[in-house]
Amino acid sequence: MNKPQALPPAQFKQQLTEAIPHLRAFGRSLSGDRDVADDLVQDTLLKAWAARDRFIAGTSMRAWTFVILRNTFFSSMRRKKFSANYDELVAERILSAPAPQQEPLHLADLQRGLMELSDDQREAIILVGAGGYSYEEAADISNCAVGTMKSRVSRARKALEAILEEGRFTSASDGHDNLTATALENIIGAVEKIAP
Amino acid sequence: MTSQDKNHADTSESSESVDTGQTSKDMPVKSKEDMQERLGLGLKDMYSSVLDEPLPDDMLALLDQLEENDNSDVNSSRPDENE
Repeated sequence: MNKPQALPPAQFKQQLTEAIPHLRAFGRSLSGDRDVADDLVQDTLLKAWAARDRFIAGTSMRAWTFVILRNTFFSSMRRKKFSANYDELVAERILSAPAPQQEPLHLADLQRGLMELSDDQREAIILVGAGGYSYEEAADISNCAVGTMKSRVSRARKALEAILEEGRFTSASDGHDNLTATALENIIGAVEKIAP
Repeated sequence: MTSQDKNHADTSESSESVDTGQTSKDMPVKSKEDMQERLGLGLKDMYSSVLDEPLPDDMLALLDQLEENDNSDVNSSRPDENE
């Protein structure tokens, strides 16, 4: 057995830096929250650095750090019963529609829909459907069989389609946005009264 | 098989005629395929828009700090020094 080769620190740092955008995208899709995700990425960078002797040169830094991030996220969720809190800045962002005559998806709706899925299904559809990872890569990251990953993705897709079609969300995630919208409308209304 | 044939026979004229000026605003989703397509694109767009964001300075600073700590550890060779 060859002894696994560790990367020199400068190269490790370089590869870790290159993984950051991917960690942020994965973390934000998983948590539905920019700040939670960035804290999660910071944690992941710290843990990865501390464990860098265990990273084998030539293997995927992205996959290795994704495992750290998702384990950190799911264990912290279990601990403090993480509740979703959506990024208000992007709540109204419209996602691209396949054709101009189609109604586009709203990012906020998609994120809310994702948060309605089970953790397993959400992770599966993010990795395969959003991140473009193969079933094999996603199964490695989530530590499950390839067949399990395939069925998670297909169930997640069906569930998300149903959620988005019916526009039904849990009252918890609904309330958040309604409050925001009302507050914003009040402000706009007040401004219009002052300066017509 | 037969149900698909029926669909084909019917859709050849009726559903394709968008020029009537009637846009079905009350129907948010035209078909299952539309939703699948929108969902696929939406997911990719959601994800890739984060990839395009510039790297946060604090994350880069954190890595610089970690690297620096390492170097000073090696130089002083006293593992107990950093808390």
